[in-house]
Amino acid sequence: MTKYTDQARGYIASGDFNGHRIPQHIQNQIIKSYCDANSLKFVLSRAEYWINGSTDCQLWAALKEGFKHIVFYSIWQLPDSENVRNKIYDYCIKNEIILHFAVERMCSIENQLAFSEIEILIKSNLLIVNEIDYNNHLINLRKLM
Amino acid sequence: MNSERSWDFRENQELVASHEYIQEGYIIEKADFQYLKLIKQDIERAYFEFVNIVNKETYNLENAHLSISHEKINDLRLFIMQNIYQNTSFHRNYYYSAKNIIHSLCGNELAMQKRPGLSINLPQNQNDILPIHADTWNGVSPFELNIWMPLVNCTESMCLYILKRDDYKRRLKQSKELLRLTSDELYNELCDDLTWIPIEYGQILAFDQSLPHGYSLNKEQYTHWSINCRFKGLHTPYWDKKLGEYFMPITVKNCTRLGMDYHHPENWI
Ligand SMILES: [Fe+2]
Repeated sequence: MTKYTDQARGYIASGDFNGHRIPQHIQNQIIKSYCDANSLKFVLSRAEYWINGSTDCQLWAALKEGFKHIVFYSIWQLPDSENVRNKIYDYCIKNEIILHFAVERMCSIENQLAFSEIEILIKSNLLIVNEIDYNNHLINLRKLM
Repeated sequence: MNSERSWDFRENQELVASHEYIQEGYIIEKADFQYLKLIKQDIERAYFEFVNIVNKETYNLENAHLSISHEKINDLRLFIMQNIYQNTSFHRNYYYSAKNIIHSLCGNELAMQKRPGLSINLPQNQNDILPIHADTWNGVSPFELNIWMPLVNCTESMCLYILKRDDYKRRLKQSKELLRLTSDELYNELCDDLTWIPIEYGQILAFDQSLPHGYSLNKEQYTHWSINCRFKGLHTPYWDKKLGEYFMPITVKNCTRLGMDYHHPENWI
């Protein structure tokens, strides 16, 4: 059950995510200004552990604390595994937790549709980043034109 | 390759539009008015709210300089943007009002800019000048298409100016040091070759933002209002403006959705 309705727990990364490394105090500033703009009370962030590629230890800790809002620095901090992400979405829907992503200015509005849009975004990005070798693709394409 | 064996199946209308776009660096088309109308309404509503105008009949966007000071213009711009980007209905109307030309030049599986830009240029306001630049000089991918819509009729210095493709190429050849200049120097250097693009409300401009463009001082007696928004093929290369923070996927097709979720039946082996 959620206890703190207008309070938002920050959730930041330690180390790399999606090819970026952002100093933690900068992540916190971005989260703080997102909270200010959206009338949320920012509660100090939890930083994800930087151990064995962990992506969801402190996230679960944050989810289970009872905050209604969790503000990620970026959507790309969500775990890489689709299964793990789905577990998170299910937990949020069941417990009426809203996930926010400060850099992308997005939030999940606690429904299935919002989560499916988040998934489309993540999968489109994975496709672009991992599956398409633009240099070779464009060189080959030009040869055929 | 003769046409019977060609792999280029683009329709004639699309080829004509593409040719003009390549030649000039831009093309003007008619907007789908039922959607354009909604875009303008959203902006007017936010504008009236900001300046607290009750008698809406007597005010319109082109006369905004009568109710807003030079100092307040950026607050107004931010207020309107905050207002119209609350949800995605504005974006939806934007896409639909320019869908034909976007599909012709760009494709149908698309990424769209999450926060389209709003320009309000008051007459004689130096601060509203947009220095000459090409978006690709600052990390914008050349695969993007800029759809630019005026909300008022634009003539002379109210218009966007552009350096047409041939002129750009010629000037690049003549002097390779142009990019070392300040934007004022660059503007003065290129001024005689620039084209101010006259356009009316109801039309849309699709332009190539890899060509130098900008706004000069608005010397007319009306306020300039326009919005610009980038579209690109979802699967084309991204430079500094990334999916998620800057672009959103708006027309992901069914086969792409299925492909993204595909799993081999590995358990059956
Ligand atoms: Fe630009």
